[in-house]
Amino acid sequence: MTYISEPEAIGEALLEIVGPEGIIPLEMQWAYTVDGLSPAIVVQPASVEEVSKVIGLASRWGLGVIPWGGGTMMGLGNRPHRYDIALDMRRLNQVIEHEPADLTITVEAGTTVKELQARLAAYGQRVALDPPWPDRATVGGTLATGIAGPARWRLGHPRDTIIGIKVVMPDGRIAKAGGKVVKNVAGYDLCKLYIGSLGTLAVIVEATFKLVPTPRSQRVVACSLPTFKQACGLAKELQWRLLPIDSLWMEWDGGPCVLVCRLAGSPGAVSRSLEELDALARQYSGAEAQPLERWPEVVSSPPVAERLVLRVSVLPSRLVACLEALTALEPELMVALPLAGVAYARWPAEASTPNILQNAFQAVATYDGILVIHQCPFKYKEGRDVFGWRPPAQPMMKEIKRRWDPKGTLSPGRFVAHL
Amino acid sequence: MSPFYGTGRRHRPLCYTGPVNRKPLRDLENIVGKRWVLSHPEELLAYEYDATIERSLPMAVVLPGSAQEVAQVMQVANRWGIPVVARGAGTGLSGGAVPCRGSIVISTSRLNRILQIDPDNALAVVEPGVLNVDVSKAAAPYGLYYAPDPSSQKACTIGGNIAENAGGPHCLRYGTTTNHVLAVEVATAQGELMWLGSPLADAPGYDLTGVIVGSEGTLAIVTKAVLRLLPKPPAVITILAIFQEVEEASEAVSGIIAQGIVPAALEMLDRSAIEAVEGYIRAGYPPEAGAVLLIEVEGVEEEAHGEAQQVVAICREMNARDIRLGFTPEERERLWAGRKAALGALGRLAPHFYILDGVVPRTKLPQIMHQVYEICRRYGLQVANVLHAGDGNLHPNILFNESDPEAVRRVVECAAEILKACVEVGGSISGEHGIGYEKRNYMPWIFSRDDLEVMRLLKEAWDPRYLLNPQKIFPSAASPEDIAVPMRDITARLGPEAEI
Ligand SMILES: Cc1cc2nc3c(=O)[nH]c(=O)nc-3n(C[C@H](O)[C@H](O)[C@H](O)COP(=O)(O)OP(=O)(O)OC[C@H]3O[C@@H](n4cnc5c(N)ncnc54)[C@H](O)[C@@H]3O)c2cc1C
Ligand SMILES: Cc1cc2nc3c(=O)[nH]c(=O)nc-3n(C[C@H](O)[C@H](O)[C@H](O)COP(=O)(O)OP(=O)(O)OC[C@H]3O[C@@H](n4cnc5c(N)ncnc54)[C@H](O)[C@@H]3O)c2cc1C
Repeated sequence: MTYISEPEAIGEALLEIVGPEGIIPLEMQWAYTVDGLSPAIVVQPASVEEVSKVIGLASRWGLGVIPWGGGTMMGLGNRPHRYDIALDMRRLNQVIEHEPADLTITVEAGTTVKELQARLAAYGQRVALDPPWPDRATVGGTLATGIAGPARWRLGHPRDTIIGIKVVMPDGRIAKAGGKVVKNVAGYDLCKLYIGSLGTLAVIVEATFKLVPTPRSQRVVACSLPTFKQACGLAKELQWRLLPIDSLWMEWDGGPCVLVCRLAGSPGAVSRSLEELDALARQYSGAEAQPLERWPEVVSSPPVAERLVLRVSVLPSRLVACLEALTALEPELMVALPLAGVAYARWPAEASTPNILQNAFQAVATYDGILVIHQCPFKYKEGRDVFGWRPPAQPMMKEIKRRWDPKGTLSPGRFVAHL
Repeated sequence: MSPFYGTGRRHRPLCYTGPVNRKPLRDLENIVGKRWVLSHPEELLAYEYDATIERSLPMAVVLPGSAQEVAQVMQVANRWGIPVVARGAGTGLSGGAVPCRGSIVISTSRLNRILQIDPDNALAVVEPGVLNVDVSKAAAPYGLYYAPDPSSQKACTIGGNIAENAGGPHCLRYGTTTNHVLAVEVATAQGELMWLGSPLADAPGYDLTGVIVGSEGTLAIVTKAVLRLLPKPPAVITILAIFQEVEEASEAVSGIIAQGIVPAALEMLDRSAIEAVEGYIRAGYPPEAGAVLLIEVEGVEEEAHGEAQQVVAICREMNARDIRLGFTPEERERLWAGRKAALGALGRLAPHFYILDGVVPRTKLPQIMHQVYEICRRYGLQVANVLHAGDGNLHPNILFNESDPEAVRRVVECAAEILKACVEVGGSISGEHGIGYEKRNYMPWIFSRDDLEVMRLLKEAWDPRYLLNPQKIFPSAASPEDIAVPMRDITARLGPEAEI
């Protein structure tokens, strides 16, 4: 293996692959910093073949590559061991195949979720991805992150919606898994492996989704409830009655809990469910369900690296107690998905961060939960694993990373247990 | 497992005939007790098959009573380098549980406890030998159920469902097994117990549960599973639509999907299947009908009724000659009876039948149905079709008599041609039954060498010595005693890419 440390030599070789339009000018490179590290070069390939060549070259030269989509979730992960090339995927933004009557679509990974949904909306369809900043978030980044938000109850997790995938392996080979039919058990379901892998196993270049119809009518309402217990109780009741809930989440910023719910379906079902919800809300808190004009964006401000955001997963039955324990640490905002047992808590990042971290880890452990540092100034990442949790299957994860990426080409060190 | 569905079994000179090494047997007996190790040929006979036409005898069968024992059995197998094949109920339809020569079969029949039903978090924790239907039964008192409902649900096990990523009529709306398994405990090839995944949402780490589901017992042995339960829907309506022609029914399916309606279930039976059913249980399907569709919609009252109206309108537009609705559980049960009895009924038409499991994009359904009939006609074989039509998943059942070896050969060849036709219209060779022995040599029809090599990375990460269910999923090497050889020369004739 030749080791080339000269950025100029790397640059020339990459220039040959992606052409001048595929190299991001030096003065724009600051935008590609990850945890305080800057890449030597930023490339924007325009085709799967170019991605394959870039990765193949990086692998041969022992370089570290980090894929970039919209960059909305780059704060998540451990500090990379090595970062030479930023691989901006956003020029791969073509629809490869859309067969509306089959309810399937294949798109390139750099397509933004908003573009994708807009195209589908014209056919009365949508894909079950609902990331907070859809105009920036890309399909590839959303899959590689693999977190479901408030829409998970109805639409499920991104893993449940993908039926086929094409990736570039860490040695540059192109491989696919799954297909374009909605039901398929031929071969191992490798789609699952790439979802949530944060770009540490392969670069996602294409994905095929099954689609769902756009609901004919939808209404958003908010109910204000005095306690977490009441808000979670109401959420649970809605779940058990199987009301057509498209999205559901709870927000708290020191005052009462606000349970926000989007009902979607046929007009008859939505208006009848709205009545049921309103009656339930009165029963729970005496307050009625207030209509909202639009779906508020969860943690709606764009990601600011200077904040501390923690993500908690517990069994839904333990969520209330866990949220109560976290309030003692005085977060400025908490957003919870009561049906899933997931919560996000946010603090302005200050000197007290290590303290908050320590107490939060303790609190969550009491409820057998998992705490992930979702976002924080990178100096606090030093010397710790932001994923907190060591999965019991960590040895197998390590083995998989080793076999997929023996040279540590892709996002080395970013994943769970610094894989 | 009773062979009520009448698939043919043939003997192949593949059973283990070499000397039995008693030493590994003694090691196994020390773990599970003498009683739970079977090695007499007559005892082994009950374990040589699944619901396909393949058979082969193992060296021994072990029936462990706990996850720890499974792990210890794996350690023994590892020490002696003996392959291991896990076995649930043996209802598999791709030869997955058919033992390879001289292997140890681990039967999960004693691992049949439901360990926990947690209604607050809508979870069930079960052992792998638990029958699918028993999970829903145990959850019913809490108003919950387990959604994946393979037609074999009264006989098949959760372990087998996980290994095959089993589907069922209601998977159209709720997804297959993979969407309902949150975590599994496995015994690895090295004999360690390990939990994968987590009942907690968004637990960080590679989604190893996701790759174990559908891995056909080739990566690890499932010893416990955490399953997601769902609340029962408040309103369910079943619609039976009767058509004169299969084309009209297929068009109605495409029409429903294209309209953006996702029913809970959307099943189809063609004329031969209807005839069989009527001769068997009198489900009230007109025997001269070309096809029936069985459609179920559910949700809150308004949702179900709205969708039912739309579905009925589309079926009428496609010339449905009769439409019946079921609202009460009894009415619905009556409409479903014919579908549920379909495979059992086919046994009346011929001594044996061979079930295929192709999938096509849903718009290609009318075209592929036409091709299925055409191909079978060419081979002079009768076919009865039962389809999870809403998913584009077809089960042509080719009828034959296994006492005629020439017929068996024709059936396998005909089946291969049908699957190839599915692939050619953008589909796949298995929707829910798995690749197993049966279809492994067709894998290169849909996957490139690189695709398969990446799958091998996964296999080797888990099982570098290829001890777990060898000879499954991956295309066969050219060894003369290989069980899949007859298929291989057939596939070779179907195209050069049929072999790697
Ligand atoms: C409160 C909250 C709610 C959310 N709700 C939802 C939701 O409902 N549904 C949902 O789907 N998501 C949801 N998300 C997460 C969402 O997935 C991400 O915010 C976003 O979609 C990431 O997209 P991106 O293009 O900006 O990725 P980036 O920030 O660019 O990348 C994210 C990660 O993926 C890697 N990556 C990027 N592109 C690729 C590629 N092509 N191949 C391999 N790796 C790649 C990067 O290296 C990085 O590690 C939620 C997040 C939060 C905080
Ligand atoms: C009449 C009939 C109807 C059917 N209908 C359907 C249907 O609607 N949908 C559908 O999907 N399938 C259907 N099937 C196929 C079959 O029932 C399923 O594939 C089922 O999941 C197999 O379960 P089993 O317990 O019988 O597994 P087996 O046949 O015993 O084994 C199947 C595979 O699972 C592996 N395995 C078993 N237990 C474990 C374990 N604990 N750990 C790891 N691997 C394990 C075996 O090694 C083998 O590879 C039907 C079969 C019949 C006979």
